[in-house]
Amino acid sequence: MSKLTLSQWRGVKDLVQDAVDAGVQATATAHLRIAQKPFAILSRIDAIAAPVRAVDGIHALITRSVYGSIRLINRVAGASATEVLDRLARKADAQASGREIPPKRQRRCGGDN
Amino acid sequence: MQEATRAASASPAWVDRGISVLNGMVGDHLHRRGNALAIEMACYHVGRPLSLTKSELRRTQPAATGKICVLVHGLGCNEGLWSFRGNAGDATDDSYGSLLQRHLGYTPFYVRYNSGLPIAENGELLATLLAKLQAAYPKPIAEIVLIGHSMGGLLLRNACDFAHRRRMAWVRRVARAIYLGTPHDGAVLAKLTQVAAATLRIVPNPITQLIGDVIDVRSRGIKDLGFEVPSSRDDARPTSATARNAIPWLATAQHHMIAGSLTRNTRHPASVLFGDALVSLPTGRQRAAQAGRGARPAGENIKVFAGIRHLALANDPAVYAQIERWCREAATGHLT
Repeated sequence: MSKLTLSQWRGVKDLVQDAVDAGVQATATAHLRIAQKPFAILSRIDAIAAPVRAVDGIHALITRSVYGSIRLINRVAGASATEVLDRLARKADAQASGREIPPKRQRRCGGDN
Repeated sequence: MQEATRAASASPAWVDRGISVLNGMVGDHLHRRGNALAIEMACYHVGRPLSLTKSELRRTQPAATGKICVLVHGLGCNEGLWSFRGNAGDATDDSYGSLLQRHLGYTPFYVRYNSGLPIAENGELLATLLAKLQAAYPKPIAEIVLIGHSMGGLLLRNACDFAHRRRMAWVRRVARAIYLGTPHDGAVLAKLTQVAAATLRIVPNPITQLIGDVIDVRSRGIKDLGFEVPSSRDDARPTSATARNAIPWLATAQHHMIAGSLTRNTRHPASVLFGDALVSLPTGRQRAAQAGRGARPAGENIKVFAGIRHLALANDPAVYAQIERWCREAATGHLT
């Protein structure tokens, strides 16, 4: 923790979260674009166009749900990391305040033995 | 900046370097998101931002003179770039700034900034920073020498242009600007990357489009390197370098250019094609042209150091010797 400040650690956390989110979105977009191709070809066949479109819709829904879940997990993980960092910050503040012992208490502690 | 004298409370040098690289790559995103890793432009002293107040400047620069030199690093770097390397590869206490101070009495200031931001925006920030520096400086500033490495040189041009248009006082004190490996005509690698990204996005294939999108994640600072010096007067990025208004050269200063090459023979194909690995060599026509004040460096104001690569231009003794020679020249015709 001494190598980076707490705010910098928050920055790292935010950047990782942004990167994961952007990566998942880009992958989802590419996935749906790739999947569109066979569905587009099959839906030109009149006999099976309707079921193909239905399957396409279900596939897109499931795909978006899966990637959406990953992004949700990412946000939850980010929130958890934020909570950990907040606790560390509060602990650091408490320790810093604890070091500022009033002079009387300092002399009492020093004179105990 | 110098490893041996970094403030105890400063981050380790490797952390600062990592953050600087990150800013170079995605600094515009960091800034937009208010991320704590985004660097705020400041003058840095022993690894910490310098507060531009009279008392702080007196404390950190007790030997301040009326001449200052401002050193601006390039993409993905920080002021640690200026440190000379010792035999073991460790940073030493010497740099162009410290040597100019020792030999010619210039007080050095090292700028660190978020190199992912648009160059024009950084130029305006730099102009404002230098105005604050002048206001807080404990003595009247009689002369300013600007030294920019790579993208830093483009920032200097933008800063001078912005300051000139806003009639900022400091710009009238600029005697000379020295550009080290600065891509005034756009960096070849940045241009190739732009073409590659655009081509990949045009291809009607989701995978190649995805790769194009990934390449396009690079920062605005990197993208700006593909063009001639960007101007903040342009509201939209132009489609080609020729369509962009070029920043005029500060008319009241002498401009100098230092370039490097990959090989000791500047006619070697590697040097001809790639220059110092990132920036092309100046053309024969530029080197043969008549040198003049307030104009693009030409003739004797261009020096090529064969065999010195891009990053090494910022911390080489031979390059320093040339910088010192130029700075020793009388600033004839410089308006006061």
